[in-house]
Amino acid sequence: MPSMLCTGSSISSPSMSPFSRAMDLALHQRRVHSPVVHGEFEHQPRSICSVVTPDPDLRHQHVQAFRPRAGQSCACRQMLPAMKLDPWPKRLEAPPAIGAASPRQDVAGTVGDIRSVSGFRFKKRDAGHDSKNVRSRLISRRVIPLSIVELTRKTDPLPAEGKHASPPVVGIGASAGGIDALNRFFGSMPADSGLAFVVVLHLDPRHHSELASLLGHRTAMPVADIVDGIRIEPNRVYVIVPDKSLRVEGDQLRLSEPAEPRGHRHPVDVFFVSLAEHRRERAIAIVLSGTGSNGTQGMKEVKASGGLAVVQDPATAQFDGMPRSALTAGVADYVTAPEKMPEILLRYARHGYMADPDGIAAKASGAQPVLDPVLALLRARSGHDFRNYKRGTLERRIHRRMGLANQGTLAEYADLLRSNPGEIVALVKDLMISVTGFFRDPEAWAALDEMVLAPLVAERDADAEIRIWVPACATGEEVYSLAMLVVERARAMHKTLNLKIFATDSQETNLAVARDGTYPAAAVSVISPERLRRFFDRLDGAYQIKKELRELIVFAAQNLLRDPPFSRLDLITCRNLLIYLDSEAQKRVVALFHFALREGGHLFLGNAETVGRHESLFDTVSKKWRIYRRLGPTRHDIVEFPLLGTHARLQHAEEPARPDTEPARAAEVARRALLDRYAPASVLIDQQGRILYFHGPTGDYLEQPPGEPTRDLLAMARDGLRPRLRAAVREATEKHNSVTISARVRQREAVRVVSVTVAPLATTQASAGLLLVSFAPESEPGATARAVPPASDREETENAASQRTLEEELKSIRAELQSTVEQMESANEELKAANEEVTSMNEELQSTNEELETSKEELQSYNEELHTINNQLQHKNQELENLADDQHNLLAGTEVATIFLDMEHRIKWFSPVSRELLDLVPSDIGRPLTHFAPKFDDPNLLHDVEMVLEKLTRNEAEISSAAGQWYLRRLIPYRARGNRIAGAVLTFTDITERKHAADAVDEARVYAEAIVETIRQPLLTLDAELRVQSANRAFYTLFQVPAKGTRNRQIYELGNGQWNIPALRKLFEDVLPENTVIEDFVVEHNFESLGRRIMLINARKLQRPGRPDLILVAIDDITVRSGAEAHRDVLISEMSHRVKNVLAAVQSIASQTLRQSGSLEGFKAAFNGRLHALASAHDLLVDEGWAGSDLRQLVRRTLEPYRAGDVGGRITVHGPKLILRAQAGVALTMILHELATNAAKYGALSTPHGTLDVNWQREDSGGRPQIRLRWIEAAGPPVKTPSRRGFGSKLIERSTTHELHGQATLDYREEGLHGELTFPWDESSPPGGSEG
Amino acid sequence: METGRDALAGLRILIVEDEFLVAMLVEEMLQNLRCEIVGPVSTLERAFATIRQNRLDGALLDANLNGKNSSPVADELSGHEVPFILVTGYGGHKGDPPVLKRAPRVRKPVNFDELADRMTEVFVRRPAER
Repeated sequence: MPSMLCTGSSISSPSMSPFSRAMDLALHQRRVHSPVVHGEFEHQPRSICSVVTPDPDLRHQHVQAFRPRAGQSCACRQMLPAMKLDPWPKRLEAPPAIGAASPRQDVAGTVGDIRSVSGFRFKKRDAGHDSKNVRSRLISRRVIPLSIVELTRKTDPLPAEGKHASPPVVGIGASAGGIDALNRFFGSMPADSGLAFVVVLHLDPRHHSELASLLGHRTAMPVADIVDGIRIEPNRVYVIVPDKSLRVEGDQLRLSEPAEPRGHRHPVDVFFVSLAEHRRERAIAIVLSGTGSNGTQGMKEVKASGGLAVVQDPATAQFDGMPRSALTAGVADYVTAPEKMPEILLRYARHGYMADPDGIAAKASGAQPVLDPVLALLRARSGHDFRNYKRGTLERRIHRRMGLANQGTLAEYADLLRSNPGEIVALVKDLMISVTGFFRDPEAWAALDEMVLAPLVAERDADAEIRIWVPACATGEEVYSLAMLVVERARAMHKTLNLKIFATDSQETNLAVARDGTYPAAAVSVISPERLRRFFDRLDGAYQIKKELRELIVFAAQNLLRDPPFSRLDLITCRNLLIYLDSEAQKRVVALFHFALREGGHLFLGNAETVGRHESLFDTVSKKWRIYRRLGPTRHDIVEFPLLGTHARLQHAEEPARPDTEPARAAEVARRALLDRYAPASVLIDQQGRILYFHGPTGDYLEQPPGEPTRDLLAMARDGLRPRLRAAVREATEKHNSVTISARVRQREAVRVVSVTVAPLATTQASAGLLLVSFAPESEPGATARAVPPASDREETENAASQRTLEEELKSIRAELQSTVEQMESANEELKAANEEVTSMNEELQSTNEELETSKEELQSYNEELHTINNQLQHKNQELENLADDQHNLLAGTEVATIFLDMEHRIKWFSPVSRELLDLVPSDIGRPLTHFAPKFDDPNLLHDVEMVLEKLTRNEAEISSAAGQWYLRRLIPYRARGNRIAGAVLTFTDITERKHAADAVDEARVYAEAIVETIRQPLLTLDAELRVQSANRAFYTLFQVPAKGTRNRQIYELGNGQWNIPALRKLFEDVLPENTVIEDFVVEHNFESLGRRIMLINARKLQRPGRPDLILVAIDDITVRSGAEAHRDVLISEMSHRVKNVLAAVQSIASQTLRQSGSLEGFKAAFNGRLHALASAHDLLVDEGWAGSDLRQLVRRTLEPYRAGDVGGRITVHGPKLILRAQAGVALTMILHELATNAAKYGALSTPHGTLDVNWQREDSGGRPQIRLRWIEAAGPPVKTPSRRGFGSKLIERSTTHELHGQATLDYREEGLHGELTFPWDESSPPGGSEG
Repeated sequence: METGRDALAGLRILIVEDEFLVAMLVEEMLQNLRCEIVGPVSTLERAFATIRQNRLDGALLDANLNGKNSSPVADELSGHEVPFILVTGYGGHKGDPPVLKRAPRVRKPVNFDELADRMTEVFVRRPAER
């Protein structure tokens, strides 16, 4: 394990000096050239790690030492990144070293090992190697040296491994529309360009990318997806993979996890930045079609590092966002279509610049004279003087432009510049390019904030002024960073400060961008979200600094090297300008800064800059972060402005000569010696009388006056010299002649005569306006002044001599006075004129100022008003919103469809429910009502609306909808503020249910009424006072009461009081009050007109809530029914009686016949016969409705069976129709039957010849009618009297007597039976119906 | 009961019946019971006359004589303290006066045994109980 140089922990910090001295040694060896950027250490516990990073001027070492935690390795890994110095200029005299220390001897050799130092290659060297002194010294102090590490920058060309040095890398960034552009690009890119291509596209992290295969179809070069660590080789295309960040490191491509969340990534910028850093001049950045601003920031860095920037012409891009953003930022070297880009690249690549960026120096030794024409051209054409810029930077950048313009030599390029003004502009821009950003080196800004800004704001009173100047502000990011910090501090301390920030730059284009304050999203990605919110406005894809912040800053054009500075500043921030200037310019600028700051003001430089040789002027507040504080009073002498060319030249001349060649040295030495020997004491002055150079001993003639040091000749002139000298200088200047004067100079106590010659130098470009003032003592007797006057005998000569001298002096003084007076007068004149001018200007300015003040006041008051109005508006708005919400909810929540109409019937608003009635959508607002086909039937609607609008009345109607719903449609006027009519309000209330209920009620009523009118029962409705409220037709009809006089009259009064029935009274007055329902209450009454009626009454009390009770009375007239029932009862009993009688009769017949019959057969025949006769008699009666029977019918019927077959007519019947009483009819039938039967058995009818004649007639017997009926049989068999007497004759005789109440005579004559019946006949016999 | 029926022998019974056949039948039954038959009569007038002119032990009365209610006869009989039995074809009429309603009865067609029992009850026992 390599060992390292250590410092011991027992050595306290101040006594780091051995180590620092050791470092000095190492440093002086100048073996190493490059600084540490960062490295990784691993070392044992209880060892100390220290890192020394000297600053460029070798004066200070910044040393950090720490004790790593026990068991912790790599503590330095954490430490070293903090030491990162960026950017570190390439040529630096400060070597780096890393050391690790351990007090423990036993761990020697095992303490640590450098793992890697990114950005640099390193070579470890053993401690013992070149620094033996170091080693021994350190060992004596118990420091175990391990090694000194020599680090060289990686980017220095290494021994070539293989044929190719690292090829130039072309980074291509694109987004939307990129594939098309890439295809076009690669389509015309040859496969043998020697370039390596890296394609960075915005890829969807979720999907596998087919980009590599797509591009593979377009180019012969191998296309590969990037894997981490892949080596970059020429003539190959490398394609980014999704969801990874890509960087260049050395000759490898490295992939890593992206730090930002998706959506905030700028992969193209990230790649371009690493490309710029690692490939510098051999980097080419191309931005193709895409949206957003990705790539712009990165491209700026590429250009700043000397690379090439090419942008796709937006007109040829599908999406021009990214190209436009790059163009707007002014970073493009070429703008063209993708298929034309390969041509440009090839040309550029083959130019010497790419191959050897510094080759321009090699091309022409003594670069200075050759570069001069170019610089002079620039100065002449653009006004920018680059002579003070670092040569190396200038050379490289000019070389690059030569490469772009394809010019081989500087002379050719100078020609191009002469003929092409555009190239001049481009070159100036390139030379002045610098990369800047927000809070670049955030720790430095944090340090500034803490160490400078916080105390500054704290010590200032409220409303006090803070003046800050940011020269070379470029596009303004730093200025705004500073402004943000100050504003934040002021806010935190609750102070309002009068903040004045001056930001200057020599490029107007930069200032324009800075003033605008708009930056792409990538540029603000380092700013915290709170700051972003507080200070920025979000635009489309970009962010703009808020107006309040922008107004704090005054942007002005100013060339730091040429123009006067600002003054009385609290802080100057100038970062990363000095590194571009040569050291002379740097010194001048630092002096300028000193002058410009107030006492105690601060200076903030970039991480690679210091105040250089002017440490006397500044106190170091933070070495690390380059913060300085002005010391001492204003030094006018060190500040010169404006700087003239000759002066600059002379400055150069003042410089210690460059490494001298031997002959030059000798010449110089000789010259000096000659001057010293022979030349008189002289000074070189400029037109202002300032001494630029002292030669020889001028002490006799010039001395520094008390007070601030000065270089003014006349101020320095000793007594007696001044006036003459002044005159002489003036004369010499005016006349361009040498002027010699003599004067008397007081030198301490002696007075000498001195001769002074003022000679203007030959007018060359370098020496114009300069004068050489030479002094020489005059060899005059009076010149040798003696301190003590001699004896008195010399007094006379002395007096005379002194008088002469005095006279002469007086003369010359007078002359001087005269000329002085003249001078003064002319000066006065001039002053007066100037004064007048100034006064008048002042007046003008005053009045302008007043005007402005007034305007400002006016504006302020307007502002106030607007502010108030705005506030009011805000409140109103809020109110309105609330009200609208309320209204909306209110109206939307109702079930009532509401529509607002304006005066022209246009719909102003409608509630959602209205959609049931009209097909309305929100966009229908403003359309007239008539446009809509209503879903309801309302023919009068429009007319009603008109009416309401005209007459301001309300209007209601019931309308039905197509869906069968009913609505109450209401119209009322719409009253706006001040009771003004602005339209109408149309509402639809759903009354379907109500209507249906009402309809149902109506229907029910009609139904009930119909029933009431139809039924046959009389119905009455009475009120509680028994007054008739209504009666049906049946009542009127049945009880013959006229309808008219009925209503409202008491029931007792009806029909002439015929209803005044006690039973009825009883019903209504006694029964009904006790009960609600009465049924079958019988009332019998003899009505006058109707007669006797029996009625069944049903009565019911109808209780109605809130209304008087009603009594319903139903009357059932059962009179007829009763009668009919009674009648029926009688009939039934009659019938029953008769039937029983008949049965009894049958019983009798059976009994009698049985007695008579000899045999069963005989019984059967006789019984049947008699039964039949009986039935037949009843038939007859039935036919006549039991009213009676006709004698004629009776006879015929009885004899019917015997007439069958009687053709001859042997049976004759005649007699009138006579109705017999029912019972008589039956009796007679039985009698006739007996007679007939007998006749058929034994009598005339038993032979064919026998005859029968039955006749009867009505007779009168003693005033009473009777019937005599004769039965005459003849021509029958001989008659035998006794055998015929039996039941039959008995029946005949007795029946006649019993039933007919008559008499029967049976005379058995020979010829036949001769029977005679006589019985009374009641003419008025009523039919069978009877009472009882 | 023969014994009961024996008691009927010799009783003078009036038959009031308008239908001859029925009267004949009843007559026959009475003959079987060895009653002395008075009548039959078929009208109210004849009935009155017969009642007044004869000493009766009982009467068999048809409820309806030619459509008329026979209650007058019943009254008459009651007046003469002659027990009677209603010979009727129906149960009774609502409008019947109480004399008829209360009267013992025999239904038509007449059942001999029923008649005999009723007669025994009405003509023999009741009077005996009095």
